[in-house]
Formats: sequence, C-alpha cells, structure tokens
Amino acid sequence: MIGTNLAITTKNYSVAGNVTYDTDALAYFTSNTAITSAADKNAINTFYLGLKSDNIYTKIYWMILPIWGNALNSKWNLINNRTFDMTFSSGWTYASTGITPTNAYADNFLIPLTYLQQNNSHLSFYSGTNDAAGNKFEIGSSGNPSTGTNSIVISTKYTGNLFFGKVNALNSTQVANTDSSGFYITSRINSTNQEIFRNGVKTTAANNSTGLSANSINVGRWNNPGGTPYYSTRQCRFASCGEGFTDTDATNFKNRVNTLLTYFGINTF
Amino acid sequence: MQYGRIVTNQQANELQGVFIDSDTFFNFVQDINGVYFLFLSEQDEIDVAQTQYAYLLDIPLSPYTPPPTPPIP
Repeated sequence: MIGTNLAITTKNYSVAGNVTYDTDALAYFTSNTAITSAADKNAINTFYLGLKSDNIYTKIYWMILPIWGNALNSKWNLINNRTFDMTFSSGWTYASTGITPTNAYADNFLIPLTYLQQNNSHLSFYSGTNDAAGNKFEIGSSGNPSTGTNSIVISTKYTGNLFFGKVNALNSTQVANTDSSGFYITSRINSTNQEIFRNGVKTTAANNSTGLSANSINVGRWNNPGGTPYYSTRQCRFASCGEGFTDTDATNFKNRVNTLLTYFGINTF
Repeated sequence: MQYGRIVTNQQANELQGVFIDSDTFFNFVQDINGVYFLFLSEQDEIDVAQTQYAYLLDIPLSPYTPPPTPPIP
C-alpha cells in the first residue's frame, strides 16, 4: 500500500470565482474595478507573489500602477492600505501607458516624518518619458524650501543630464544620465550612504541622512511648500515608497516591476 | 510651448484645491509674470463640464511661459 502525505501549508490565498489569488492582490482587484481581464489579474497576482517570495512586499508601504486611463483607478495603493490612495490635481493625462503631468501633481498622503525611518527608506519611479534635462523632479518631498534638507526625491534627468536622488538628506547622489526613461530607485539602509539605481545599475555616495520631511510625497513634483515645486514632465508608470532596499532587494524589485510592465507592453528596458 | 487657461487671482485663490470630483482637484500655477493659469487634460475637461465650474472651459487657451526655476537648494 502506498501512503500519501497531504501536508498543507497555510498561505494567504483568497478565492474569487473559481480562481485563487493572493489576498492582497484580491484586495487590489476589489478596489480597482478597471482590472477585468483574467490575464491581467494573473500577471498582477504573480507580481504580488514574487514580491512576497523575495521578502520585499512588507518593505513597501505604497506603490501604484497608474495605467488604467482615469484617476479613479490610477489612485489605488497596491498595498492594502487605503490611507495612501492618491488624489490628483488638474493637469494629468491618463493613459494605458501611464499618467503624464502638465504642471500637475498627485498626493499620496505618505508623510516621511510619520511613516518612514530616517536611515531605512526607499523611493522609486518608473518613467515612460525620455525628454530634455531640466530642473524638474518626478517624485518626492522637501523637508525645507530654503535649504532642501531632509528631502526624499528623484529627478530622472536633472539639468546637466544627471540622475539625481536624495533619501532623507540634504545632499544628493548623482550620476550622468542622458535618457530619462527607465526605472529609478533611491534607497538608504544606514546613516552614511545613499544609493541610487537606474535599471538596476547602482551608484553609491557617502551622504549622511539629515532627517525626515514633514510634507507628504507628491508624484509629478516634489512637495515643497513655500518653495519651488519643480514640476515634472515625465510619465509615471509605477512608483513606490517604503523601507530601504539591500542591493539584492533592489535587483529583485527591479526585475519584478519590469516583468509586470513587460506583460503590459510598457517596459522601457 | 504649453497652453493653459488664464484665470483671475480671485478665481485661483478661491478654487485652488477645490475638488472637481472625488479624485481630482484644481491646481493653478503662475507664469513668469505672476499670472495664474489652469491646465486641464482632456479627461479633466470632461469631468469639469459636468460641474458648476464648466464656465472655466469657455476661457480660451493661452501660451504659458513658466517662471525660471532656480537650481535646487
């Protein structure tokens, strides 16, 4: 006689119809009514499972996939936390490829001082646009309008053709960049080093953290009350914020995000 | 060149941050001369047309010259 061992491992799975989805993916599908295709749901579900398999998911507090053609369904935080669902200013163009600002911004209500850790934070932005360099920021929060200290920010191609990032700091880490499209991550996991990644390629610089901004993170500019907003012109296809990433985390995250955007046909690399 | 709708200072001050619908609010920005502009995407125009603010759509589009942005502090 052959015995069968039916060992069952507890997983966070939920059933919708006859299909089983990750619980957090299902919560996103419930909020975002634009996702109706089984294939789309499967791709997104795979994304969730991958982030969890890589032990990245719990490090992310907010992430968006704004490719649904309207504000209503582009606003949702993929993390099942309705506190950080966005609102949009006038001036956004919504498309299946992403959201593009014209003197516009979106607020995610995530205040670094409240939710992030000074020496353990990341910010990411997937740009669908390659355009001229300029004094513009794709995402971020400024801690001080005069000095720019305590800021967390990404500029994919700042004046001088520089990818420019800060994580809870006064000074930026920069690297030459002539193409503003791609996936950009800034991360810090200690007080002394600030890392920036473009399409998985890392640049590290010794930059001490200075503190956390009391202003929420904006997409389409940095949130800099009383100072210059530095509006972006670049399409957002994905963005996130949360705890800092190790090099392995950053590589895995880049791969998961790019695989998802490749499924939707909007990857840039 | 960007094009937007010129509004009065009073309109900008009264409507800044006012929600058009549950997800979208008005944002006004000043040009190089301090004149307030409103930028609406095609989707915004559809939404605004259904509100009490539809009169804003009657404002003709004008070229917008942004103020110079200083280098990041």
